[in-house]
Amino acid sequence: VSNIELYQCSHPPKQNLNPKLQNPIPTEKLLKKSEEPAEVVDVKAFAATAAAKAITDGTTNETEQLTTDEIRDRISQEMWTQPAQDNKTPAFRAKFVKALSCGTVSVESTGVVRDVLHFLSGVNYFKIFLVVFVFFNIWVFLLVLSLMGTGFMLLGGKDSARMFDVVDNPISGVMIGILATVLVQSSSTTTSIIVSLVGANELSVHNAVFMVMGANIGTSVTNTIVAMGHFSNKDDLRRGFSAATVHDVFNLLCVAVFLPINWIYPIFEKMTYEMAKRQTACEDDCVKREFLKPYISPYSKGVASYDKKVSGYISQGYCGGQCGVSFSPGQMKAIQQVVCASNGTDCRNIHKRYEGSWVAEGYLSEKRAPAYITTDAAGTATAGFSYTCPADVDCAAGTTMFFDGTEPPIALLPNTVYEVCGAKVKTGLCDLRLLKGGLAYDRWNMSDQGAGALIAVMSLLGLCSCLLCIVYALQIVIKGAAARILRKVVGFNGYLNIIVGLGITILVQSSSITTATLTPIAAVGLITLEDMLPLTLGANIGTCLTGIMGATVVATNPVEAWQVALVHLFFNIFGTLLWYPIPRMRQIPLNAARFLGRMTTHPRIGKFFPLIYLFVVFLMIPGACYGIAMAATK
Amino acid sequence: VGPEGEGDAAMVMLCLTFVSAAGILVYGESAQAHADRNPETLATKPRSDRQGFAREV
Repeated sequence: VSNIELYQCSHPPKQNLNPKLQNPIPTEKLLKKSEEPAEVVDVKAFAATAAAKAITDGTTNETEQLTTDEIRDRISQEMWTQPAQDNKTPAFRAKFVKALSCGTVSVESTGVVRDVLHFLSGVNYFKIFLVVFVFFNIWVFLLVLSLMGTGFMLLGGKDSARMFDVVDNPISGVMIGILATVLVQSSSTTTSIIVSLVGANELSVHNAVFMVMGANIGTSVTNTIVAMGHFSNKDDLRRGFSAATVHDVFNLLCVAVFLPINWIYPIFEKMTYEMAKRQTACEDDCVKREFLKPYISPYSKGVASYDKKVSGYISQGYCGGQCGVSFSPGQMKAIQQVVCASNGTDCRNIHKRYEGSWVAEGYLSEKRAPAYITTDAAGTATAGFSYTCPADVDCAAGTTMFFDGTEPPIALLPNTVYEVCGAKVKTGLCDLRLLKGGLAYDRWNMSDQGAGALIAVMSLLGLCSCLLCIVYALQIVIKGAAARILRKVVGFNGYLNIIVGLGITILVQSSSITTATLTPIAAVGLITLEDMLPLTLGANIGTCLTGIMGATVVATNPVEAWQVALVHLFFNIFGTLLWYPIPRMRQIPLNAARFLGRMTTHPRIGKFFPLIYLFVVFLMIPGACYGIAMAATK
Repeated sequence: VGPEGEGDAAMVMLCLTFVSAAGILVYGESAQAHADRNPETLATKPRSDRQGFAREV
């Protein structure tokens, strides 16, 4: 009994008064319904060919061991590794040689000129153009990532600078690390910010460790967005999404293992402290060496530049004021003894925004010195800390100097206003605009929020456009011989792939670029998931170099800054050692990524699954945790 | 190139990328439509790939 007959038996034509429905069902429709899906036909045809070939060659049929998805990956691979039909015809080459030599040389001639012209006639100039086009798009991609970071920072406003303030437990640390990295689109940038905050005593190493773990997860958002570019082809989307999410899964698994361990016993802090305890602060030539940023940053800043100082003032709590006078440690000790309670040991009373980080190396930081100190009737000044001139006092008319020469006063007079930093306190630092230059500021006269929104939208569109161009060009360039070479290189050895991923990432200083460029190639099946995992692991380790380079130029707290940079490195190295060398362990991230890839083929939610995944993993969960942490802090 | 020139250059690069992407989308669609009408081209592709994004140019 054929499928058609079965279908007709189970679906007898219904009697209906509607004349349109009374017509019999056309045979074509019945045939269509009974036809096997095209994918199944392809797989069966490939399996049959492979079986026939195995019988002819007298070898075992490897296809029998493969799953349907794996067979489909092989079909795609074969399609791409077949010789590209772009060889120039002999007639074209003859014409080319004749035209370029103005008819003096023919293809049958002999000599160097003929050989050179014949060689030139065989060159595929379109492919060369596309290779240049790919490099151009990679450059624009980096520019767009930089612009996106600026756009989101401007859009987030000044309050986003306080994001790091609510880190008070490991979970919120991880979530803020994820959110910050998703917003600036670079784990290198987040890690550098974390390193500088630790260097400036604004963040403890303990909290920074968990934020670095979050930054590692957040960085994998870019290639997941890239994979979504393949939504028009179900198989490409499955492969691309698997290749992209293997990075996410690996990082999530590492955090799942190392977060509780480090929470129970701070192994990373202890280990890296022993390694970094002899590091000294950068004294001269403290310029961070960067490979690609000098070629990207001027163009990004030309469109819009973001005043990092403002966010620094906000995150470091200089909104009240910042003393511009340089005091000696002895002078700071004298100020501290006068303004802080318990004979200068408890400074919590001095300012409503006082934080523990105001004290550096046992003294109140010199930039935190007050403008004026007011003594009460008893001659004590523990409540008289102020950044502005106290009310009912004419400071312009002159006040008593706290330091007469270099000596602090022996005894304070009652009801007296002492000038410490005086008019040299800079106030209103947090009232400055975040947008400080570029076309958006100079020519378009935009507000911070407006410029942020425009640049965020523009960069998102730019990101999609770049990816489309890269994918399209790569698919033409790679086809044929290049695809066969690529297959041989990436399929040679997994450990070599780690080194390749590491090397590329060190060169471009961005794991996002490495993984985002490899994802479209994985989507067409040329890089298998098994090959993609080590490449990703290499990229993960390679991106740690940026943090290490940031630590080399830290002028204060070098040990802590080095600790954070080394934590990032060892977190990734330990993760690689845990999840890669043992084949059974390796299968955990691979299977999880395969599962996520298969979810994109789900008949109902398949095409929306990547979007749902992105929203839930990178925005909803971290955002909710951040909200809870913020509410708890308040 | 001055600071403003760099901003302008960046905007030109971005616009070039937008135009290239739009061109690829339009050209890709028309190439796909053309390939789907050509039985010889169609026969070389896997069946499930025939409705996909145009890869052949």
